[in-house]
Amino acid sequence: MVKHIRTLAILLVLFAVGKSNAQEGKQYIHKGLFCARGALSYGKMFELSANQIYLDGNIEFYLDEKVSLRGSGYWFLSSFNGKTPLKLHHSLFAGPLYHFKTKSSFDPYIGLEPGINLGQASDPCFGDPCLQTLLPYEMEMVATPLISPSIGFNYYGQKWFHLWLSARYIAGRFMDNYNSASLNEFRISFGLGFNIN
Amino acid sequence: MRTVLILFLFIPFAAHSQESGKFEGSGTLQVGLRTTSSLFGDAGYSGFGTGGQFRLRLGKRLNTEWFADYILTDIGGLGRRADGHIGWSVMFYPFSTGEKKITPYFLAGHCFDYTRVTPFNTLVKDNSGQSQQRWSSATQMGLGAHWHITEKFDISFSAQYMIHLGKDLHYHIEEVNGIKELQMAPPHDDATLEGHLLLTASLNIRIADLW
Repeated sequence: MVKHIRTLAILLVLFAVGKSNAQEGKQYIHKGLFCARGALSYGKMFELSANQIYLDGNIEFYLDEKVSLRGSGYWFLSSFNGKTPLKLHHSLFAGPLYHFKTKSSFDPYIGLEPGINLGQASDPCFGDPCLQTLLPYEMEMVATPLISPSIGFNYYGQKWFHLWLSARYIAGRFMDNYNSASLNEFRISFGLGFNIN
Repeated sequence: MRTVLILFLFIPFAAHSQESGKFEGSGTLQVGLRTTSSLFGDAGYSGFGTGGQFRLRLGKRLNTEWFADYILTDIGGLGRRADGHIGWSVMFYPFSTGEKKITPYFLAGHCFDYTRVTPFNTLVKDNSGQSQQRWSSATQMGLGAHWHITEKFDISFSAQYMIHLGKDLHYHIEEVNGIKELQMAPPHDDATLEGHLLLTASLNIRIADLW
């Protein structure tokens, strides 16, 4: 699964870079451009050693040729290939993106987005084997502040559609009624987006 | 520390800041999102939080900031402290910086705060009834700077010291039978002063010119 995602991501980057080099001209993005995107997202959590799958949706509005505002939501679907430390792990991010000037439809950007996570651990030991609890336990659902630098690109090949890829690092610390753990994670999403000019 | 490093990754923005622009307009309304680190609190643990704000500029040298923060602090892996701040600050610009990329400022203000300290349960002990909470009011003062990326967008960094006046929430770590636990002191109503340093990075967009 991870290999397939990596291969697809590399192909998308190569496709977009190749096309952008071939089409010199005017920068495509402009004030008032509105985009909506949806995709499945892959996440790799570091301290909790989990592979995660999310449903990712975001909307973006361009204030001008350099700055846009993006709001992103990640709905946690499941963990795979290993342990399941978290039963619930949804997150929201919002913030501005800075777009580098190009002379084509290729639109690379960087961003820094504060966010919030709504999480609930699977058990008191985050899915690791641990001592059997002597008491019945109920895991608390908690909100965790996050910060996320991101990098990515859009490629506006058509009037209504574009290709997009977004990668982000997420930093935050989860604390419920039993334990604490780092939520640090790398996430990548890509797919087809819709835009209104 | 990692958060600070992440913030520094944003330095490339500087290279693309525009050379000129009107950054001193009275009546501008901005909205923004912020990330805050809480350092040097009485218990010695650092917290990390997120929040939002809007700014209404009253004059060439005077701005106001209205903010809300939600900060979580890990108390040695044995408990958590949650702080909610809602307040306002007045920002004073000592220099005329209408065409420059960096605008330094002083700020001072007030806020109201809610704090809750919760010891974690252990595998053999339920501590859910041990939480303590308080409301307090605070005053803050500090320095900061706007970093104008475009005419409509800036990143701001600030450092402010905040002093809370409220009921004392006292907790300490104790070792019981070889197991460390967060122990809450019995609650009492004596008022106390408690301070901490807040480092904030905020991302702000100008959405309107009201006058």
